[in-house]
Amino acid sequence: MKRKKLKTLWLGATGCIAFLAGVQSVSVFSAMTAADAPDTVKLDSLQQYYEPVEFNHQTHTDMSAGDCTICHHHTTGQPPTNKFCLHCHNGQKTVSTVSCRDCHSAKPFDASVIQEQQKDLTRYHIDKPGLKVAYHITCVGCHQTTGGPTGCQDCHKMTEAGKKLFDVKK
Amino acid sequence: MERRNFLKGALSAGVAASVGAAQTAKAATFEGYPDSMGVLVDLTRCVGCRSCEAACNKEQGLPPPEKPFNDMSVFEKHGHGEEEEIHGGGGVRRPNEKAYTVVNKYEIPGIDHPLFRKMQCNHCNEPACLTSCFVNAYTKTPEGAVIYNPDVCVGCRTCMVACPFYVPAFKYSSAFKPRIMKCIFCYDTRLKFGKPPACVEACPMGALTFGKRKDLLEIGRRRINENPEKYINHIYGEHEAGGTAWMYLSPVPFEQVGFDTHLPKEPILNYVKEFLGVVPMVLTIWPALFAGFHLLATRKDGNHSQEEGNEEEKS
Repeated sequence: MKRKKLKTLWLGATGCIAFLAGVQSVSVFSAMTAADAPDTVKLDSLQQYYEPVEFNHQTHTDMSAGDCTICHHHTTGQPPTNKFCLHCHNGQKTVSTVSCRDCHSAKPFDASVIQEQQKDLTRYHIDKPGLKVAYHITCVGCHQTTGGPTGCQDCHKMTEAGKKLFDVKK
Repeated sequence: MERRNFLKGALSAGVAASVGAAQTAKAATFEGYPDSMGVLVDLTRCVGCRSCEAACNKEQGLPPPEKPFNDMSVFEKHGHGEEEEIHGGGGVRRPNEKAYTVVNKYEIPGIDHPLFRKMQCNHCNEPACLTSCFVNAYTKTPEGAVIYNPDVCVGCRTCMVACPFYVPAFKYSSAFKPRIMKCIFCYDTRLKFGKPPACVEACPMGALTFGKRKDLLEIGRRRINENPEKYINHIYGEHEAGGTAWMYLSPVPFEQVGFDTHLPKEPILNYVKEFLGVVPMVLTIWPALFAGFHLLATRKDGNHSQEEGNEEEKS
């Protein structure tokens, strides 16, 4: 009885995986578009000294005119423009990890991450920025050249903890 | 005859001791702990937000700043006067007893935006402060930090003179309980446990990268090689003063952003090593040797008339 239940569970699980794999293989051949993404993204995973950022994805995709690689490298299915990335990532495949935090660690300097780095000395990605840095390099880098806001509090207001850290007097 | 043998023996012993000392000094060349950690500072990325200064202040329990850490007026040039204490009078802020790290702004001709440079202890592979300290208040840990023990410090401030980067600051407000104030790489609270220093964790722009020193050199070279137009082809601190744990990449020649580009590649220690190697010999052998000379010389004086008499007899 118990065994039968397990078997059906197992079959169900494999079925699900097969279905998901099918979805994945379909998307491999069609690049993602801005319509696949939410209009706004709340960036709050690092929230501590600053309040979360309501990132208006729609406004930014309008500005990029459909070129997702400006922010997303190759992960949305468009080939990257950087020649160093093209050595490997030229297959125009959508990958399942699209959002910044899927690849960029919130704790990039943890001993475990540094140990992991040592395991494969041939790897190319030895200089992958952490999540906070990935956000800021991408946002600030672009804002500096396009005239977007670049002050810290232009994008996120300081929290009480932040005011204490920066010794801001009321 | 006896006298001659004694002199010969003493001289050869002296020579042997000095040669021995020279050899040990040569063999002791130290190239840094192999797995020591470091930080790569990329001046192309720093935007001068001063988050590192704020994080350092909190982590190290330093006194509250005169101006909030989001007040960017501290970058403006100040002459001698009210702000001399923290600005050193020259317009450039320096690490001091109230701040282990400071960021300075540099306007570079030909570049449309200013550059910012963070300053703190560079944690030398062979620290001159450590070498100069005669009570051994400094330690270079295998993790890469140069730490300081206030309990044994006598407040002589030789380390402040020895440091090629002029980093150690003296807490003049507690002159009777001597205390040097300098960045300790967050050793006690973070580095010891494999965690990055507070400033690195706070940096939003990736201007600070924490890792094994040897990996940071790889990362630095990669950045230079892939963006040769963006960087000066030099990693400051790879060799300067014998190599430092904190190293820098810059988009402009390093002297334009306040770096001393005339530092030797050898550790400062190497300039005094040979001299210091001779010190034990001087202290142990010379007193005996010269006491011997003195005794012999005075003995000669005593026998003078007798010897003269002998000579007369011979002739």
